[in-house]
Amino acid sequence: MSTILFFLSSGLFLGWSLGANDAANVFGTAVGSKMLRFRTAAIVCSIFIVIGAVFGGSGANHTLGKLGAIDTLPGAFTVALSAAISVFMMTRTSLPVSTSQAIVGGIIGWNLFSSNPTSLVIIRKIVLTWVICPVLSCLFSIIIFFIIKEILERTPINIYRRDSYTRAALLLAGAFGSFSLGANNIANVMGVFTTAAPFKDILLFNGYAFSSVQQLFLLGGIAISVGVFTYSKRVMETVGSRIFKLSPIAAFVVVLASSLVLFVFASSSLKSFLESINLPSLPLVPVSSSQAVVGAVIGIGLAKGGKNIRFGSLGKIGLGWIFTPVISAVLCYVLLFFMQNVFMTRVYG
Amino acid sequence: MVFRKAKLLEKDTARLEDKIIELGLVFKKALDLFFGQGNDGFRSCVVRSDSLESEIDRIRKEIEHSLYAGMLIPESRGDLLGLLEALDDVADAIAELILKFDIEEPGLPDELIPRLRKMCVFTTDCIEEMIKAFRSYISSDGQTSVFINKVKFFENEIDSLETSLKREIFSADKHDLAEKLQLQGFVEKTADISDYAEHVCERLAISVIKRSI
Repeated sequence: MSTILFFLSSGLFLGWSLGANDAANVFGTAVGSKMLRFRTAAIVCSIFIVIGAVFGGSGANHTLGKLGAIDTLPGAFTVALSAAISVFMMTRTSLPVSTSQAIVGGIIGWNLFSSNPTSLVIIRKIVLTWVICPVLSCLFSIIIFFIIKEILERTPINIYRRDSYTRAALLLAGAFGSFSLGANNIANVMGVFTTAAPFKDILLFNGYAFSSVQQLFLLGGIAISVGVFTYSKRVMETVGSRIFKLSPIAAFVVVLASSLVLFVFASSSLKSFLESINLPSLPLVPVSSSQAVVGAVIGIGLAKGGKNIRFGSLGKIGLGWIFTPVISAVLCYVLLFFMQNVFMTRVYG
Repeated sequence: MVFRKAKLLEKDTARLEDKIIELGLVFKKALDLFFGQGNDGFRSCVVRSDSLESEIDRIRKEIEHSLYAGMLIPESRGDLLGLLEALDDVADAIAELILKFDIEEPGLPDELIPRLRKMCVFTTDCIEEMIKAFRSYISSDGQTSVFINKVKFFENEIDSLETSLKREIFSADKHDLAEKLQLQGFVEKTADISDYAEHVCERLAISVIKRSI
């Protein structure tokens, strides 16, 4: 058991990093604009991340599995560790970085080390979603912004009540965003361990089985929650304010737009529904919540005329996105070498 | 909890607005009585204005405390606090003027009284439009600029009356310099009320622009 926990620890550490960094994408604008207290945001975020992870995480996990099915716990440990270290290093610079890109880099590093082919089709699908994600988020953001603006112009609301409604809306959007984050990104945290999952299904009431994958995702969700409570406050204050000055209502638009994008790329039921009515669906892939937020914030900026967007900060974030998968892949390769040759541990089947 | 705080703030703000309007009406009544030399009624107006001014101060401080303690409307809080202080300046100016009449008991020449009455009427109207502008800002109904323009109109009228009164005071030979300066002081203090009201409206105009989503 202790060995299993040791090998899972890198995934849990990655989960902690994701909580520390990505929770800010959901509640950063609300906390940063002082509409919500950090404590309230952290509690709601944690609860809904766990729910999203356990009950909605299977879709995106399936796609990562196709990129690289890591078949040993030590291999999975190393991949998750390299991704976690990459994210941790980039988080220390207080910039929102992508756990999705870190884990993809790590998996590719494992594929290279184990001489497993990396499916270019899957890579293309994943990279395409990385491109579509901020664009879609930008689009959603612009549409929602104009709808809200129209509603507010047509229905005058007392400024005190507007403040109350905005807080409630930010909390609800944050809860939805946390659910989507858990559902979409748990694959980044625990997805690499699913092939070598060490747990057995637990039979609960009414014949419902709490599967080994769900148990993994529950552990991952808890790790993310710990990250939210212990380290996310610092990062929360940088989202939004570094890129563009957001009003609380604009912050709500950003959270809702980015959460919708994460949901769209995670929900198997939505995908099935769209396919059943012969509409095109989007692939279920872990996407970057950071990219989604940046896309949404740019959408707000564009909706307001595109004048005050601080492109300098965007540039720094863009560099982070490029370096993260590369750093993760290189680090993974090096760590796998050490695991196999120094610690004499089998890292692939 | 947040909704309850919002309701309480709405009530407090409405009370503040009502008290300022009432103070404006007390001001008009007080000066009507003074011009008509009804001193009994005037004394009770002095007491009432002092009491209203204290209440306005108290309500303003309660609102400020609620805004800070509840961290409410963070993006507009600074503007709203500035507006509340500017409204308080209007109330202070009214109460000070009534007290000044009570203490100094100026002898007003008959030829000046019709224009002074008119100044008082315009001042009261100016205060009412100022409160309507403030209410419009609070309720976000988009009509704030309409009321701001009315305040500016009355303020301009009062400025014209102020100038003509001062010319008449200093061109007349029957008063010595001390009396002329005293009368000038009263005219200026009366005109100051509408200046403070205009200042409130200038702040309102900027706050409305800043409060876009």
